[in-house]
Amino acid sequence: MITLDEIKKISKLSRIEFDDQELKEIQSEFRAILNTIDRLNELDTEGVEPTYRPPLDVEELREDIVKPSLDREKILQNAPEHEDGAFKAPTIVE
Amino acid sequence: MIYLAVIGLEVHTELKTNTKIFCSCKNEFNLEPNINCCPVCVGMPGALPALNKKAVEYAIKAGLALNCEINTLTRWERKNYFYPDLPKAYQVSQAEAPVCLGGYMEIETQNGPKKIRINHIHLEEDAGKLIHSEYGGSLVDYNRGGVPLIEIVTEPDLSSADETLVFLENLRALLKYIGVSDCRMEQGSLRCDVNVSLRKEGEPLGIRTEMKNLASFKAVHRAITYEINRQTEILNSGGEIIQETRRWDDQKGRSYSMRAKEDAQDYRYFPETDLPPVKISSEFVRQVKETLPLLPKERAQKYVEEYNLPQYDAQILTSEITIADFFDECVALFDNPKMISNWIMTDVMRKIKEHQTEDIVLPINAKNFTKMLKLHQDNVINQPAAKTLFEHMWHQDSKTDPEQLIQKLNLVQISDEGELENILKEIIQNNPAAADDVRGGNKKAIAFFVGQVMKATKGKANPKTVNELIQKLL
Ligand SMILES: [Zn+2]
Repeated sequence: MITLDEIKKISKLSRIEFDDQELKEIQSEFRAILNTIDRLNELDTEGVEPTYRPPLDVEELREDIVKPSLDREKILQNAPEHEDGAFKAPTIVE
Repeated sequence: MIYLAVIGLEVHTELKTNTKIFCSCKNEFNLEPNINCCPVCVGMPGALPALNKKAVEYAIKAGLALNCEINTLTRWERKNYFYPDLPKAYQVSQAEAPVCLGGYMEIETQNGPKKIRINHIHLEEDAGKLIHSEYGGSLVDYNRGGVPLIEIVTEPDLSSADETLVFLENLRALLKYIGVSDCRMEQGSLRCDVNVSLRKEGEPLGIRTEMKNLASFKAVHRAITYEINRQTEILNSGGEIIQETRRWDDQKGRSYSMRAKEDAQDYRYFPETDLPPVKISSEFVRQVKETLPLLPKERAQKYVEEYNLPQYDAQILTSEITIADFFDECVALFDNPKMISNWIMTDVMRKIKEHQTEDIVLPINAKNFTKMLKLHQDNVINQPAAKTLFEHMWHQDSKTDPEQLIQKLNLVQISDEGELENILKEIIQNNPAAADDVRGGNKKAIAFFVGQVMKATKGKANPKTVNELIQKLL
């Protein structure tokens, strides 16, 4: 069962703001999703190695050869703001 | 109350591959912002990463040099946090199945050799760089974003700031030795986080704190000393240590709690399904092992056995690969390892210390250096002249053949008996009292005459010939 506090924590970590009404809606949707996923726990996976996708042999990996990068103009094209060839972000306070 | 310090490290080193870890953009330092970037390393939607084989190879190489076990199947996870230097809002890293497991490095301590255990080594991508804009806001440069990193995580086996420094220096030398990283702290290619906790003898580990923003080995040393004192004071006054991350301020010489970041500590690792796990065969590991050079300890042993050098000398010569390679080059050109070693240990090392830089740069080459040594060995130049020539070669002219240089600098030793005899005769004539002293067996008076001849010849006289002449004439 997911609590309202957990929802708040996740929304904070995800930088998504909800008002109280939205939080309640999200909570019930979240429950429904988790219940669906929980059905997977009914499967017996005893002794089965976790597999996310088939592995690749190390020999098949990309060779270390430089290829041209993208033009900086293109890299910055969709940035809301840029300055001196760099992306511009709000000041970060540590 | 006396507490024992318990210190563990997380050392990040950038690998010197040609390309980044997940794309074919160039891996290089210090350029115009955002020119080595592509959709993968700036995190554009839909871009897919392709793992660099060399990065895996280098991680394995580091693991082998640190006596680790290499995982046969290595996997990738996303580490989630929001920060502008991280374009995807997650860093691709490894948590469950890193490339290397276990391992250790042995260091010399006051109480003899000590094994510092390595917990694991994992691969990950570096983040971009933030620069403050003079017009406000932060400027983000992703050239460094996606540069391959290894993170070497030790067990908390270190017990003092001094010991930590020795470990780091050894580790840095080793990584440079095997050629996987430049380990330049000033360029950020080697970074280090430190965990410190205190405990009483025989008691379990205390609460630890983590220190960040350590930009030099000196800062690491200072920060550990500061933290040990801080925790000791808290415990002695009956307080409790809070588990936290602290930021070191090297200018102020103190650390600050980074409370603001505590909420964000939950990294919510989950599998990176854009990257398949990688199978590492024992055959591949064997091939990587073959590319490992002789490591410092083995190389020092070789010097002791083959060249009869003292253990201490061999250790100094092999502590930095640049020096060891220079020594080997010299020995190949000039068969007098003892003489080469003596000169490197004294004059070359002194010069290196004078211009202390992070990377050792030798302005002289082995060819001319050994030519100089040979000229000295063959008595063409004497000791003071050899030192003068060395200074000149180091600071002014390392290109010209030393044989030409000694002519130009007028350093050739005078061994001609006739010439030296004439000079000596004149000195004897001008110093009859001293001459009588020599005849009376006064050793000091002999030194006086040697000194006078040296002065007259501007230090170029062959001291052996001069001594023989004094015996003959007096
Ligand atoms: Zn790229």
